[in-house]
Amino acid sequence: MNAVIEVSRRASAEPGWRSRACLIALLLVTANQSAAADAELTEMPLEQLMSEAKLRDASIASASRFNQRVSTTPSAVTVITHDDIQQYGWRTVAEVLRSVPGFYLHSDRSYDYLGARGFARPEDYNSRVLLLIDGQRTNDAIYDMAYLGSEQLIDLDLVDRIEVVRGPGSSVYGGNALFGTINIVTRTGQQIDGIEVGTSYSSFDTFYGRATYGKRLDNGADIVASVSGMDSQGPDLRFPEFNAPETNYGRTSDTAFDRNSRLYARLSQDGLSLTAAASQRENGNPGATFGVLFGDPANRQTDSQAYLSVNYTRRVSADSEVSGRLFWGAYSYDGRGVYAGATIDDPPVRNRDRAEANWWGSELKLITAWSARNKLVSGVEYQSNYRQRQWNYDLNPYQSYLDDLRHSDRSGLYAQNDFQWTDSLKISLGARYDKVGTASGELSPRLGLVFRSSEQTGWKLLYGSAFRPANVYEKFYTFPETQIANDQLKPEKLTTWEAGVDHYLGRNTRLAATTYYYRMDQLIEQITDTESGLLKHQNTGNARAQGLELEADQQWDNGARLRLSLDVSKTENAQGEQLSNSPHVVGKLLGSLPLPWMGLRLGTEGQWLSSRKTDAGTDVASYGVVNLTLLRPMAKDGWQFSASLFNLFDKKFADPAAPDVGVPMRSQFEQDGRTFRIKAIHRF
Amino acid sequence: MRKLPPDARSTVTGRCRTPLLAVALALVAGWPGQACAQSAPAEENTLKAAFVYNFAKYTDWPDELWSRSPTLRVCTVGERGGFAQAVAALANKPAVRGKEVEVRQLARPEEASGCHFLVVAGRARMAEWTRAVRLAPVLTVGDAEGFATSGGIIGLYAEGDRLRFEINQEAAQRAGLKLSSQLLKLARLVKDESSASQR
Repeated sequence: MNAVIEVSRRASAEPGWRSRACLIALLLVTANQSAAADAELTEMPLEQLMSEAKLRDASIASASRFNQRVSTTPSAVTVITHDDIQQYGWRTVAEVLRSVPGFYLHSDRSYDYLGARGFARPEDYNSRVLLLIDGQRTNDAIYDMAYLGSEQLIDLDLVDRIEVVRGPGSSVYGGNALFGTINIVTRTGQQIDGIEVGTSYSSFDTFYGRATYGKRLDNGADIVASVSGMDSQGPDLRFPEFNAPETNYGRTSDTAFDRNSRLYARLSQDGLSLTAAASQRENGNPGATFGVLFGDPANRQTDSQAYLSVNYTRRVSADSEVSGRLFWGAYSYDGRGVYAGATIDDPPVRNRDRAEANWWGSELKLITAWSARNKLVSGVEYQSNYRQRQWNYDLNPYQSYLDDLRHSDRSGLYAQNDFQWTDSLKISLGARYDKVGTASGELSPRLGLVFRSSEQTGWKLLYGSAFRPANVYEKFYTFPETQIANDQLKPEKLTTWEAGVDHYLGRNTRLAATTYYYRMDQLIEQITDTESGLLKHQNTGNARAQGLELEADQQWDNGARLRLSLDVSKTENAQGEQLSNSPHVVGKLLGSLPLPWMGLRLGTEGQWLSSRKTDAGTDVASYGVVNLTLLRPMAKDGWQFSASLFNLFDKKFADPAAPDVGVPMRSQFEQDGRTFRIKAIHRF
Repeated sequence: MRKLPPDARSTVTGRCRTPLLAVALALVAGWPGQACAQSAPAEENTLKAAFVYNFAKYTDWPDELWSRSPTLRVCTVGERGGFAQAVAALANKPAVRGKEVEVRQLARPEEASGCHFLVVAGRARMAEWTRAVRLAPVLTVGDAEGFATSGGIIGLYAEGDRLRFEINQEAAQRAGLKLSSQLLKLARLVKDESSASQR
């Protein structure tokens, strides 16, 4: 050891030469060095083994609702860890997901939306992915939306890992698990072990702060409590579609603000766990969506979410585990819009567009290894959406346009059996039956074959199906002379076929390829009704896609890592045209490199999207962005620092916009140029 | 009871170890190789074995057993796969608390007396083995799901991309073993679900 320290001291005299040499050395290092690393494991103290030694085959809880290894999971799976989140400077769950093969984002500057495998309807509200927090469903009961941006319930620094399962998950989760199931696993008190405070400052006068307490007490009780908040003034923006003297030539300031606050608390002991989480986010509407008066900072929306959950898990024998959950949830949307008066002499009209939902539910699950080669997971679920209200009114003079109060429920019954036929072949067969409201039942089967042809190579062949019931917004939201209801909407249905191979070259190089075909039937889209000429959600036929996802992931024993992925997809609507907002090619790069100074690490992320069609028929250009984060990881002195540059080369790029009758001339939203963030975390 | 050596009690936060190859790189390319906070994945069975090796530093066996045996006897049973092989390789590692590591593969439960460790690989006959030594001062370590809840003392499990362990304190007490508070602090503590039926 001493010799090494000597060498590094001497070496640090020539930084320029050395950093170049590091890069060369990195490229030269191959997987063969693993034996040397393994020899060191027994010399590491236990605490260090637990915090630093990584498994190549991670465990995942959400794909089949029991713990299994990624390699044996009958789905394409990616696990993102707390370390990854710190290393790449991700600020929202949306940014985390953007790094995962097969996914891409679009934003209308109010929310972030996730696209998957070439499918991202510009007007979609993230209702085709399921978002779980510690296994608890969080899609709301109005729009069925998965909240991924600054309105997300959980502070990203409270996250231990995020499990991302691509493809349909309805066979165990029911509705909305079409293109993916995302499970956010929060850190335990044992992991936090003390007080942690974090703060950051970033572009557009954005301040962020967090205080967290976590501890496992001597009696075994594990406590986590956290509060955090963010306040951003937001950028000055220019919208070419408002390029007129009366709208300040499209320039707007103080309208892209963004503020949030989050609370989280959990107490667990002996398999019983109580969780309370709440968040509120208020942000502006700089692009004047829905036709509000451009440039008025009174235009804004507030999204509030909360849930309470009681979870009990008990292993009843060596082979069986039962768990139950009781939960309550609430969501509210409050959109404030200032509209022009009826004539030029009338004062502006203040409008409120609101939605509130409350629900409770329960679930029961049994996992049993009923023979040496079989594992069965089965469960029942019930959720009552006892209040689903949407209403819209002008404030002064008061006039109501909509007041729709509903309640509904959903229930489901599922079972999945994993049969290890031979040591190398596993067959997973599962199905779920769902009843949503008064609609007829939905059956979602799934079949997976997982075959290991060698220690280094695994194959997966998957058939899956999923559905999404129309939500109350799509069925019942109306606005005079704009949008009409459609209570006859049928669920969307997705059927997918998927084949994947995963191969390790040595131990540190992973190559993966997945190819898929999916077909969406009875796709629900908002289109202009031929009879009335108004917008209406309708089942509009089908969409199909096929694609290929390639991934190469190289890790070096010194901690450097490079991951490249390439997604190619071809999508088609019922008319045989490429879907809008569907890039043919998405390329991604993630790299991290330990630097020879003070334990610093450099992380870089690159994204490239080919051009996408907008609903207006135009194209948004292809673009590439690069982000850079310099991280000084949490050290023994209790400090972690990072500095990030996002969109390093200040690339101008845009995302396709949803058709908006209030702003008919808009086809795209321009996104942020170069921004920065500096951040510090301290542990006591 | 034997006292733990001071080095196992103090906070264990050693400096990053530098792999041999990094040393070579440091020589040829000026690479300091100091950052290992996020290293490449470890071979899983080797990692499990390293955990077993470490557990010896945090466990007090009854004086009689400890002083009687000149070696640290690690016995393995169950599936003869990678885990058992990795544990067998511990015999070449440096002595722990003054005792050389001796590894034995057992065939019958009666042979387990005199073992400090009984490492149970896989699920097969897991319950039979833990039951056989439940009152003996043998630290049982297993890698099958539910090992600790069903009567074993320490169960290894994966959580995300980390290897962790759970401890059944009741089983440890029954066996007359004292696990250090530091080990308990790092572990997930689980209840013994086997005891109800066994009493």
